[in-house]
Amino acid sequence: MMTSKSVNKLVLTSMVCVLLTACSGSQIKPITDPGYQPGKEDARLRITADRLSKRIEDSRHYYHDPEVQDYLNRIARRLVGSLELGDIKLNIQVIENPNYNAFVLANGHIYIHTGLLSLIDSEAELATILAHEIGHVVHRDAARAADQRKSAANLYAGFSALPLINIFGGLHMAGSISGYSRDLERNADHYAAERLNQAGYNLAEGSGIFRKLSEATEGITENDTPYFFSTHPRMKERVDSFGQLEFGNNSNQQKQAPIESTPNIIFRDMAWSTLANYIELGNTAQAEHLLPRLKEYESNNAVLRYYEAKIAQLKGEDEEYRSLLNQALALEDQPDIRRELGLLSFKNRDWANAREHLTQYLKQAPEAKDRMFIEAYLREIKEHKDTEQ
Amino acid sequence: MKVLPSITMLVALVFSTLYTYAEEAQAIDTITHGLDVDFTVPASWYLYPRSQAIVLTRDGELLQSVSISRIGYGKKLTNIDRTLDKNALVSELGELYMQNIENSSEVSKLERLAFEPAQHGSLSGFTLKYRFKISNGAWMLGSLIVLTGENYVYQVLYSGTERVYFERGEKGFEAFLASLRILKH
Repeated sequence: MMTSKSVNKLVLTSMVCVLLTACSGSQIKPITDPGYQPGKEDARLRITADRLSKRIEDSRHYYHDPEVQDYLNRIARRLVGSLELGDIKLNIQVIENPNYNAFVLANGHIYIHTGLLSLIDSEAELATILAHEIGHVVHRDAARAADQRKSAANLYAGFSALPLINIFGGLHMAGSISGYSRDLERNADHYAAERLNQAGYNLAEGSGIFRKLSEATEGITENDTPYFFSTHPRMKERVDSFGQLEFGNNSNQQKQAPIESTPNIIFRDMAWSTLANYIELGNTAQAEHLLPRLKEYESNNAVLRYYEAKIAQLKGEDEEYRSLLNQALALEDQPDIRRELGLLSFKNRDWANAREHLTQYLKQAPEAKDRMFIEAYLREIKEHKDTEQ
Repeated sequence: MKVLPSITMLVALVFSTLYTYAEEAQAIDTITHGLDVDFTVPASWYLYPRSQAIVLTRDGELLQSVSISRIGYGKKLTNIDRTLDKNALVSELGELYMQNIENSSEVSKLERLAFEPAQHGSLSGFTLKYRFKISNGAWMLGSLIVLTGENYVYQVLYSGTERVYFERGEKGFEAFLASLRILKH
């Protein structure tokens, strides 16, 4: 039997261990510190990170656009002077994924999802995300987190393993990267604010990205859709925390001109493909959230009307769906629009319109993947028309 | 006396069919399951009934397998937030399945090889043949047959590694398909 005395002793020992853990974490010096020496843990983490980077860069999710990558790396260079930080070289990359997420690996590779880039309006917002992630690299947060986990594992056998990093896949898995602890995230925010200020960015403008994320993810639970900085502190807390930093730095003015004054133009193609992705996945709320942003670029565009029609279809608004498809067709005669109108007419037994649209569709897209089906529908239409005559 | 329950359990296990089920399945000519299907297990194949599907394999599930399952209308597919609409045309269902496969965490570099109408007994549907890479790097081939019934959509998937195993199990799959009867749809 354990006496209360021995229980107290155990608790005391545990507390000492926790304190030691905290102390060992603080021994990890920032990468920019003159006394910085990479440890065994850093080397181990970098090997794993390199493997993961290779997987990402070989995967279909890797978004390769030299112009975009160059722009992102130029912002990073402006924030920290050079892409080389100690023995780490920063490398900013993009992942084609509609979820709002960004993360950094221990090898200095920072990944931003196309979904998050689709929300960007100003360079200051983009710089805020990058500065925060660079903060994790500078503070060696991967090593800190690993160190804390190791110490915790010594205390409690069977303590949970490293968070599973899996950027591959669909609705639930993609980009689901666990954030660091609340303190490490806050430290990265402080670092970001300092760098943004130094680089001449407007902090208030930069923190706008958090407000946007807060709005875009309203009503979405963390389990449903992982998003940027989803864990600690919570999004609302982060908006407040960054707000305090803005005033603390008293630097809500852009002191230097941005590299690109309209970064949203650079990310426009991404925004289009992100919208298509939301529709494909059935994420109606996120598609509707993104749509007005695209309307700002082109308000009277057939593709835009087509996507609006697809959103109406997802919502079960059949009349709106048909009306928007007709509007799209009036703007431009495209095979996808013809196909949708043809199938809709076919389902409504409107044989004349179905025949016209589906015939046009096959003419415009002779290599259509669903050609065999469309031909079968056209045969069926002919039978119906013959019977009716 | 404490050992008695353990001995009883051991004897029960030895005489139970629980872990010799796969081998026994081969001896049975036709099998009817909770999915309301009837089929013959091909020679040298093994059968693994699961809670949501029936799986058959010749060389092991990771190398090559057939699975049969069904989804009710109005239910969501596994990888996308889209439901199966009873009024959807077969070609529309095909597109939906393609998007579902494309968004699977196991699948990368998906290539559509064929998409054509299918008929099985009184049920119509489509066949989708595709090629993909799985996370460990092996190239796989998949042949998905989707059949639309009154209340359910039945899915028969045959997949296997592009090298050796897909082809090796193809005759068995064809025999399975020829014997398959969907009893309630």
